[in-house]
Amino acid sequence: MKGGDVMSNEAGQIIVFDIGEEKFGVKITEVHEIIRMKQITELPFNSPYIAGIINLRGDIISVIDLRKRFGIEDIAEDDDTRIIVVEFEGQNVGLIVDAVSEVLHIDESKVDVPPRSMSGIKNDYIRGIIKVGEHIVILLELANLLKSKEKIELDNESQ
Amino acid sequence: MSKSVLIVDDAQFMRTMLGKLIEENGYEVAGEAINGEEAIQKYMDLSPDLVTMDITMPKMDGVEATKQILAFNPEANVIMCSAMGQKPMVVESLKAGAKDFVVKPIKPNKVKDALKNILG
Amino acid sequence: MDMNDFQELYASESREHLDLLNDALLTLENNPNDMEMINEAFRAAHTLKGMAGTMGFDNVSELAHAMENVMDLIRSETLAVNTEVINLLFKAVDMLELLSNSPEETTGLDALINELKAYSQGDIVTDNQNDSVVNPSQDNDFNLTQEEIDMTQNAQGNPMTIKVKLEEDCVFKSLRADMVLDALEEHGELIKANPEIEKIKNEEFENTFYILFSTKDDKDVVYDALNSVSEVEEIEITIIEDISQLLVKEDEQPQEDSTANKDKSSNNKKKKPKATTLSKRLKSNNTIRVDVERLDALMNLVAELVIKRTQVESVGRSYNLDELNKKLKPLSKVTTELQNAVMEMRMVPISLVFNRFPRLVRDLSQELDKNINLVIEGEDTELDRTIIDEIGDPLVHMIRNSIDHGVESPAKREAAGKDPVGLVRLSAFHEGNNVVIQIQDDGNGIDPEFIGNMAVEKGVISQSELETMSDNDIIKLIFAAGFSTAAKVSDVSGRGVGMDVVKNKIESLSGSVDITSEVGKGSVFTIKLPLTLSIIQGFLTKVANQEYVIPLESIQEIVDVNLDEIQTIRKEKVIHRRGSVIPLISLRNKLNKAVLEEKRDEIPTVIVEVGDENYGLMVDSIIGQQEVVIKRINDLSENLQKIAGGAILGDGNIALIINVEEITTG
Repeated sequence: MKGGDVMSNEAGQIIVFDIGEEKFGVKITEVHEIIRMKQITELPFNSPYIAGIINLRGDIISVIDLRKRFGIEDIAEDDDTRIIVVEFEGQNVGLIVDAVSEVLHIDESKVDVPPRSMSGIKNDYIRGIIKVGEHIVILLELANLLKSKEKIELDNESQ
Repeated sequence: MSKSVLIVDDAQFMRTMLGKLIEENGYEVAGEAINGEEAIQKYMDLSPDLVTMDITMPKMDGVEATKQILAFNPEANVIMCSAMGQKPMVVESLKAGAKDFVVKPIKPNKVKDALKNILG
Repeated sequence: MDMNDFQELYASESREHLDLLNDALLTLENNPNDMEMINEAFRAAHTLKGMAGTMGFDNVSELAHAMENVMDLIRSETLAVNTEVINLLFKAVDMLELLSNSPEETTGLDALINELKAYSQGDIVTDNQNDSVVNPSQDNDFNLTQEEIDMTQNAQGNPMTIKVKLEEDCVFKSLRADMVLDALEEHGELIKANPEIEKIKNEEFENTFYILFSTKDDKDVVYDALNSVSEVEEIEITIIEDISQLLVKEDEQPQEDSTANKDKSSNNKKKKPKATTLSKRLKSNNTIRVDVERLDALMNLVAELVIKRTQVESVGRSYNLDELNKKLKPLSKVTTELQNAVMEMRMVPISLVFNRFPRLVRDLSQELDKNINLVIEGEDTELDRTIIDEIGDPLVHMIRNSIDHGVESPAKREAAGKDPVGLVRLSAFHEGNNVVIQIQDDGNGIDPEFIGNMAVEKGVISQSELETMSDNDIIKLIFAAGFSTAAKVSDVSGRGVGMDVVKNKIESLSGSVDITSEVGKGSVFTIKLPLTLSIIQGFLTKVANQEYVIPLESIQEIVDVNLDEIQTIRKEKVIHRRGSVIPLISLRNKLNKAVLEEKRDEIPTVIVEVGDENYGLMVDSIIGQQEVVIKRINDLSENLQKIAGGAILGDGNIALIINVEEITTG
């Protein structure tokens, strides 16, 4: 599924993906494309959450392991594992996620402030949360997520 | 076959603009020249139905080029593209046989009319 | 037709002409009598005015017009070239530039235009505006003398009055009127005009005039003839039944017009400039514009072709297919040539960046009261266009630095026995596979003591560390993060942007920056950038199951080192080779990989040269020589100094390119 294929009013649409038991969302306008897992070349000396680099049609892009980033236990990749390629400061960066579930149209006015347990973390990589049906989708602020070097501790209650 | 126009102007911007206007009105762009010298040469090579001639150009200006083109072919259709303070040069060109003029900044409808009046 | 389509073209064309204008003014400042330059400047302003007008950017147009007027005065030698005028013109150029990018930023525009007008004392390049606009006295009425009536009746034709209304926005009204009159004369006789012919020729009318005309031709014919004149909005023809009605009594003659028939337009008009130079910056029809994206796409395709070719070559080698290998040689040659051709397309001369600097240096010198002579060398040196885009800012910063902090004030220089005019030399040249850019100044140099103390103060290094460092190393601390010698954020030196940002930028281009300096004498900054970002020759090796490429340019030789050759000197493993001692470096070790379990008698080692030293890099295995396309790796962790980039192999895997300098000395 390519972000660019979604038609008409892109604003207010998010791509929802799973990491562990949590659902996260990023703005569709930030997503370049979504690909299946590929061979990752590890880089020496990297922070643990940078999984390495991949060959994306001749370009080399860095890939971040979001599970590691959020401090969730690693699992084996499966058929659903995906890499979401997002654009960040002119470069493409990949995010490894467990699965991509859907594209949602959200009403910005329904976005809530994240609960305290999450916002205890210094970096505001969470721009808000929104309730979708029975689930809560955590909306990510990509720029901050990718900039911060520290591991982000997620509230483990959902595990 | 549609009528063809040779565009003479030293600014790419103007050439592109005029080119678009010309094509939009159903004519063809025969070619482009960036100074008077080139204009004469291209006129002789391409035999366009009409020439749009900028006045201020390096190497040879539009008035001189117009005179030479008309010397080569007294039936040549030349439209001068003049700037505000260049009235005497337009006068000179008209005297030499130029058929019409437009004044910059050019307005699409005026170019259209000028082209139509000569090329039909 | 949508003006927005032209926005990009307008922007880039404006840019070109603004550059031209800038250069012309710079030259003019030093050579005030250079007619060529004056004309170039005039033409540039003129063109900018026209383009802006067409795009509807009236404020830009107005400003360019004001500049044009001033320059016309200079051209006619009515106004002398002096620093004041030049400064004002430069101000105008800057404002033009600003307006081109941000049309809303009109602060100070009116004042600037007025300043320019003050020089040109009114609009001399007139639009033929006259104060007296006479409206036709009455609609259709012509007051004729008996003579005129007789004339009309003698004329072989039918009299008619023709009302002609020109388009509201017609500029050269008298010219149009002339054309109307000419068109009429082909069909009959002009008897009289209202307003009078003289007034019409002087444009002393608003839009409408009336002609008393006599013709044998049909009304329609006359109408058509008039209609084919451009900018004619309305034509009304009224046949006159009885001409004697227009007779007027003698003492009611309209007043004689006393204004002399001065063609105002010819007064101040100077001869058209016969330009003798064609500025080489203006594109001739020998070039075409190509989207950078398309060039990049082409580059990628060629790179892929190179990889595929290599793959085929390796199959040929593995299976010893002689015929194939033979045929591949010319193929190889062609692909290499193709590669070079494409790379050359992306090469642009560094003058594109360097040409900002004369103006920058001039402005800075004025602002900081320093006297600077800027020397530029090697501006034809070419480099990849993506680098050109990025190298500009770092260079600007470094030059600002040299002028602000490096070069002393004229007084100080004289006191020190130096020439009061400081020298800043900007040079570029090719060296091996690199482009080298140097910024040299003969200022007061960088003081290791001062820097060292600053660094300790800022916590960049500790006092004890400082004591172990050589002067050279200390000077290099200015590139360290967190280091900035500007006591306050100096606007001139770029808002406190540090040299560390400059260094990072250059390194992100796979380049390096170094500095040497001598107190009292001056400093030299040396930037090295790879000529091409793309393709290098290297040796493919394997370390801990990962492929690594070692660039060929650093490789001296490849050997199998026998275990018993290895000696330990001062805890370092070394071997002896051709009379010298070569330290051994285990790549596994340097890359933080586990130690190889199996014991080997011989270790494949790549001997590389870094600076003047040789080192032996021990690997697991050597695969072979390979041409690879370097891709930059977006270093999110900033830990990647030892890796210079990534390379995509034929099988799609990524090999990491070793930064030989870092891995040996880091």
